[in-house]
Amino acid sequence: MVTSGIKADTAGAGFKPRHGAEIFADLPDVGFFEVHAENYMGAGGPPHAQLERLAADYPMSVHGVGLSIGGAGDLDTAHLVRLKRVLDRYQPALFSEHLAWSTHQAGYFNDLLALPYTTETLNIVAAHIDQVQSFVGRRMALENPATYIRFSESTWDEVDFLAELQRRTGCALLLDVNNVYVSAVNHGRDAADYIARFPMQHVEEIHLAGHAETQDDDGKRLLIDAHDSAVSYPVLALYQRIIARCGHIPTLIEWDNDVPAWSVLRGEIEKITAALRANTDAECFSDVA
Amino acid sequence: MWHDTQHAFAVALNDPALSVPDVMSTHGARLDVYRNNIPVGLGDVLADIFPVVRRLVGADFFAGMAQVYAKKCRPASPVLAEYGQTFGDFIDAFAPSRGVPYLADVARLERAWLDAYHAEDQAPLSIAALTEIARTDLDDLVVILHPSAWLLNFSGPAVSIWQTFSMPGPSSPLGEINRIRGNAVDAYNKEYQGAA
Repeated sequence: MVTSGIKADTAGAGFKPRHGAEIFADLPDVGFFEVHAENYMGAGGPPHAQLERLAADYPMSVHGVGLSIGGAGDLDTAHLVRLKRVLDRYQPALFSEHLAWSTHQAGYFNDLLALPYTTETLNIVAAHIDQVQSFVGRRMALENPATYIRFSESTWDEVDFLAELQRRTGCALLLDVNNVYVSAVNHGRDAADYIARFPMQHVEEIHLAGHAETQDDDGKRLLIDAHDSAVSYPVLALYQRIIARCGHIPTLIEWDNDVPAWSVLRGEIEKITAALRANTDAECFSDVA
Repeated sequence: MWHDTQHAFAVALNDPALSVPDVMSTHGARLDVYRNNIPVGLGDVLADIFPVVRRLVGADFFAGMAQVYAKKCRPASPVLAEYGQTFGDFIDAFAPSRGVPYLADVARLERAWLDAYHAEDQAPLSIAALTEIARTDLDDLVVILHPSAWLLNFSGPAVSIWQTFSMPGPSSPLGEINRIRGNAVDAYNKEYQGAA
């Protein structure tokens, strides 16, 4: 099965410019590469020259981090224009953004901030997704967030909220398994239950990453979505459970801080590819064309 | 209303001294994850954009200076490669770095370097193309700079210092800078005052 130009039984990684020379030297068997849209919003220069070369050899995924889809205010049309320019230029197989906010009248917060799940925010986010999809002329995948706080006004469960957004807007979903685990530990919830209830038939891509661990004021475990290490064992265990149930879904390793040598990242990609291909009996049927 | 809740959240992020807003069923340490991520992230962005400034003042001083700047001046957009356009002016007014007078100019040079790096690709005008212009047309000729070209005017040896300290190597003590600074000032004087 092929998912929008990316083979479903392949794994990829977030592309780091410092790995470019080694990747171009031997063009390793990697399913796809993902870049943050915001890193390629400059007009030209070496970043685009390098990415055009990469895109000539590998399927691409463009992952936005700055659209602030979960914000109360209108989307920034200047940013939508920049985003469309990147998507039109690279024609990626996948395009995704986050269920989070980052822009406010006070300026841009360089983080993916949580929002309450209410009928009001559901309507706002659905309208934003409609606007994004119609503006860029393609379907987007919405990613579940890693969260550290909760809102007393929330009335929706996160899985139900995402499923309803998918139903209303026709968007795809991006399941970040590390985010599921981080949020579950932080809020004392069951990650396996979250996964079991997730509408897997709409999942276009899976994200895996490492996290950091600390404690909150009550001495309870507090996990941080740090993307600074290899995928942790509990996250891999959840991932194994997903692919055993649902089969092949393109899977990406995010390693954005303390970035390792390409050989290390490549080894992680090979490990995930092997796990994906070991599972061939799928119960879930992807609706992703 | 999410608009009001989001505003309370944003205000609490900007001021760590504020307690957790009532709308959040959470502890201070949880909110502190965001309160920490944002300035640390911006500090990393500034360190990437201004590596020579960082080498000149050292990692600790730079981190402290970056935090003051980041608190005062949030990114205008999610395109973080454009952040720090006012960092040079900020350094000019930053009292603790006043002993390093060329620092602000080095920051302006590094900022311009990154703008040039991301500028639109265009073939530069060749000398051959220039020679094809008729002598009589030269008076009406308007030169348009290439998108990656920037004109900067420095009163000190920022270029020489930047050239020297953009080379990889160990962090440099101020004594080394002062030696170069002397040489650079000489070079500057010969080059520009001599030409004037």
